[in-house]
Amino acid sequence: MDISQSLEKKIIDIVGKDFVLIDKQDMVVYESDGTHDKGMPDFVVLPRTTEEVSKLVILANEFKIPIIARGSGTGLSGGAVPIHGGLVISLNRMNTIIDIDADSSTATVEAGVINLEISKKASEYGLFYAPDPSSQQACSIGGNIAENSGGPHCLAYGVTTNHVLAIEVVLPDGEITWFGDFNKEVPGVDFRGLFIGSEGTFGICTKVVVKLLQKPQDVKTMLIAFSSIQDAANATTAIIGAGIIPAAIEMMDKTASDAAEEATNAGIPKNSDTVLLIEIEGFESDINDQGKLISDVIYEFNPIDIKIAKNDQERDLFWKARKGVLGALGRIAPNYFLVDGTVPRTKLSSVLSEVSILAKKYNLIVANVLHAGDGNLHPCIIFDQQIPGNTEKALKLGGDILKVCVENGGVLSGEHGIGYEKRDYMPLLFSETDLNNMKMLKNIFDPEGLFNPGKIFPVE
Amino acid sequence: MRKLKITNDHKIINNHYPDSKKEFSKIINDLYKNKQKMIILGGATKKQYRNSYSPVHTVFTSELNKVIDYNPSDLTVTVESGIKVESLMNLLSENNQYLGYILPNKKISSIGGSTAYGYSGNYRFNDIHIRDSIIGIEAINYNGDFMKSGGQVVKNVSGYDLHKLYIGTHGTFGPIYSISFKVYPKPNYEKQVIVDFENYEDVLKVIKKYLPLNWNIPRLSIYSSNRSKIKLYKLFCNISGTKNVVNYIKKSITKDIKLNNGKLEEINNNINMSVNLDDFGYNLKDEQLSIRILSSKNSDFHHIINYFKNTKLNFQLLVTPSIGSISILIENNDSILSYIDEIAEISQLNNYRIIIDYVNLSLQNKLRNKFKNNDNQPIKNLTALLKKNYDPQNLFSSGKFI
Repeated sequence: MDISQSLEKKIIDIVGKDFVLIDKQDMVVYESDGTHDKGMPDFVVLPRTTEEVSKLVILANEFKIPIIARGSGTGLSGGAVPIHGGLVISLNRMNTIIDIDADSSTATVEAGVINLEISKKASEYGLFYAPDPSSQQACSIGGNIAENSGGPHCLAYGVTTNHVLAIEVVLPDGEITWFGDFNKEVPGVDFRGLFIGSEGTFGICTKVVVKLLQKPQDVKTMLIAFSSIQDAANATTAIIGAGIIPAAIEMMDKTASDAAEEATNAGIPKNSDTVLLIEIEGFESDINDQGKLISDVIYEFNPIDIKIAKNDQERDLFWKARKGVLGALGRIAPNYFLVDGTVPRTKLSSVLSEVSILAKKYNLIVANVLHAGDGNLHPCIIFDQQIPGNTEKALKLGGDILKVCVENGGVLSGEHGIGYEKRDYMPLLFSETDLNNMKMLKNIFDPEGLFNPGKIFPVE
Repeated sequence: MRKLKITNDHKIINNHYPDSKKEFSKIINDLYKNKQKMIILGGATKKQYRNSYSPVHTVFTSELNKVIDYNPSDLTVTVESGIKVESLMNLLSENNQYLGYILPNKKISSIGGSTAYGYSGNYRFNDIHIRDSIIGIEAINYNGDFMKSGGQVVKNVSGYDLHKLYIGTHGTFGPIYSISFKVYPKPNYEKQVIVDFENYEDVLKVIKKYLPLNWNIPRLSIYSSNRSKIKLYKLFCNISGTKNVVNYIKKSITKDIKLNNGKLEEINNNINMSVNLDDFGYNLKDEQLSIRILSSKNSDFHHIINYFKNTKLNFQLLVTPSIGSISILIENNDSILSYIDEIAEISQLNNYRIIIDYVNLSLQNKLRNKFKNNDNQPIKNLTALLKKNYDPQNLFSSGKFI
């Protein structure tokens, strides 16, 4: 029996043969995430319990093979791609909502639970889970922890780290522990905060305690069309500058909004260049006050149309257009590369102008989709990878856009993580000392370097 | 560089006052190279940090008090760590913004010291903690090199959140040079409702409905003391937002108060308080002891309340259920240690965690092992490894945190 067979037998002993994949054709789906990056795993395992995860980690240590935790595989940074092969631990079977505690407004869930399912269950108690990535119908809470995911409504509510109280973690030596507590004031090192956003390089999250919020009494959703992207960007800055923080301010440029309209018939005006989707939440009287304030600000920036959702159906339709825009862009070309930089809000307008210049330089179409209120840009480079050299060109353009973000006081990633895709850009943002300090942290958690190798840090 | 040599009974070898980034780094590097223990002090409001068990150098950040970057439209601000909390609050206030929480002792405390201590007070818009509002830190490592984590944007997942290491860890991993915060627009209207209740249970009945509204109710705290002749529970409720919303919530609370035997003492537009809630547990006299007991959010702490109701100790307490905390000020007396044993036992039984916010030196040694928070072994191991790597000679805040 060779090493591979011996390992396979031991894996089957832990989870049972029905939950181990070893044939390449079965593992194809696990070789990539939402990006173009690929890497074939040696094994894919679907454990059901934390104890099984722990045993798998101990086993991987024994055989010195890489361990890559995976949620739903919706990531957009190559974070779950097993670029060095190894053992992919898929947490999809750990999908139980263990408890909703309405009194303390918390939910305890397993890591494989789908983000949206938490809000669905919590809504029985008038509560919801705030972070709402665009992939929330598919992405898992464990993946959200790994990437510190955001979403449109994070403008008002904050990102994943602001809503997670505690995490059960299988550490790289197989030990099981909890980071954090039911209280946010936990004294000592904030291991919870360090772990969130560490992209699966510090261990595997198996259970999560999240904060739930009370559903707002009322919601108002506005779709505003502008004749230029600069007007829309400046209106965003002005709204925030006026001291208003809506629940969400989303932006789509002409390419994106035309595609979204074609796919959904949401009512986006054909003559618009850029649209803002603004949502305000709260008490009924508050909503009206805020709505008026926002309208007053917006009129300074020459809007060509303002639609207010008349009912939940229309609101859902507006959001369907926004959240489904990446799929809709498939009508233009089969492939896309999504950039995820963040810049200070006041730099949005100038950065978008530079993105436009770069797109022309590379002769590629860029559809701009933004969490504008957060200054989080998602320029989406659309191309056909069948045309030789196009993929390389798209990736190079993406890199140049990130450089522009950093030059304007921004960062490499707002919500997707660095992963494999952006690791080589890290020196743009961080000095050698910064990176060495991060490596030191990685080494403290994972001295053997088996957890999600090849991610975050540039190749030396 | 201003140097003040005082070899006094506090065993301070030297006080250092760097007034530039470069000088700060040089001092840290020199001290570390020469294996000198050091404590970084902001406003030096924590007496227990000034009084050291072994000779130390103190490095004051008071001269590092500049605003590095502030564009109100970005809702972020970056400041040097020595800036006073009040200076930062005033700057933000000029632009109708705030941190979202009120850090205690704002006139004296520095923003760096408050970060290192990691307590965000009992006023919290949207339940926010200082850990949530810090978006970046520039720290100095033991070589004197600057190390950046996070940034000046509100949304950022680029690399590890190393800045979390410096929040609430009392300087044990090294000094902080600058901090970037996410800030918020100030609500345009705020009112405070103060209500007296005879029974703690009645207060709980009222507040339960309002606890989830932390977006509009940044403070919901219950004060009690055995100093007054009549034992009362005083509910302090700050309501903020637009005028319409504030009035709507106030009307609702007023109705619930009547239903639950409360006596409306005051509805105050100016937020003048009969108890200094912002600084509760701070500026204490030598004979006072201040502890904070932590439990889960919305915890009612009735075990502790019942205990104090029947004790002969002189106390003041402030329960803030929305953040799961109760702050207790106790007048030190001869038999305090036996009471402390009982409080520790109740806490142990109820899985509460205890933080000593203030204690005088003579009591400090006696209390050292009284409140043991049950960190598990992996956390202890990881904490020790962090210390070993980020401070291999154990010279930063030695003996203070670990």
